[in-house]
Amino acid sequence: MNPDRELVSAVLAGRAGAFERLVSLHQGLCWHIIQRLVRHPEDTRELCQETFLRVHQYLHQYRYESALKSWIGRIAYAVGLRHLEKKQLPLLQGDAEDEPLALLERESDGFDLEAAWADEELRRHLQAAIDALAPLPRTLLTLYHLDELSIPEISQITSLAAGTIKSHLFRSRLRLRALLQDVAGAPR
Amino acid sequence: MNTQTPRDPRVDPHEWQLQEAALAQERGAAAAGDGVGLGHYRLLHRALREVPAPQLPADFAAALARRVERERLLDGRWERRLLAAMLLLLAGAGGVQLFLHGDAWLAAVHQALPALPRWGNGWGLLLGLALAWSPLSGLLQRHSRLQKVTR
Repeated sequence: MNPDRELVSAVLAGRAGAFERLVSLHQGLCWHIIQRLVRHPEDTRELCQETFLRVHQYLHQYRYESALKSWIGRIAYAVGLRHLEKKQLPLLQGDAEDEPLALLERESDGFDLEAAWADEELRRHLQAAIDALAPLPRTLLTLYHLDELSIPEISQITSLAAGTIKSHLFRSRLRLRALLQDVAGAPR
Repeated sequence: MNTQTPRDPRVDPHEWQLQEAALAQERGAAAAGDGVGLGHYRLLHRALREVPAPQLPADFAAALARRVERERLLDGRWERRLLAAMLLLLAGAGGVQLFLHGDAWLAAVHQALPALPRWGNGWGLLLGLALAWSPLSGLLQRHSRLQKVTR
């Protein structure tokens, strides 16, 4: 039997430990989505709880049309979005997202990846830049790089078109690379 | 990883390939290459792979499962209490109706079935009702026991 089907049946039958297993399997994804959207520790915890309470409440309506992971991710994303709407926080920072990006030079050699990775200050800069992105691109980057979801899977979770996701990923990474080039090139 | 998405004029194909090549290299799906751009994107991928703080509490799943179980039990208890209250209300209303109209009903029954014996002034009818109640209460008890087992 499909593992999703087996787990869902166990939870619906009220089998001991089944719901805890479901939460353990998908809590990471839920946490990343909500944490990247709302960036507030207490809110993240509460909204993740709310997500799984909803999952428990509506699990009987899950029709296996998408993977359970995507279904739960969609609920987490909807819960996070609603929270941002309530707090009137923008999902995208209009001006910064729309401004044209100059493509960077395509130099050949001269970058020591391991030395750069060992540079704590550079990593702090980079993390600060990732945190400073708008909630949507920040979340898309996390789903793509950390959770290793494909663009179609991210599309199922966010209901965004694949081209829109690709465009956000491209522009955010280019923006971060530009910053990295400035910081890494500057004497420290 | 999917690169078969509709072409977006804002997405430079060469730069996109560079981004994806860095990702593939970091995931070990492609041989490591050189170049500043590639290095920057590999570094960026490593930074994005770092789990954002704060991290998930260790007991999150267990605590949530306990909460759901507690709420389910509470719901079940309320459901049973509500059912008991409804049954009591129904029995009370039935008793009142019986008290108010019992004589008329008994007379109507006797009139409709003149051939039957007199039921000992209604005591026979009461006995019949009591006999009908005992299997019904047994069924209710069994249902209640079954609910406890499936929890």
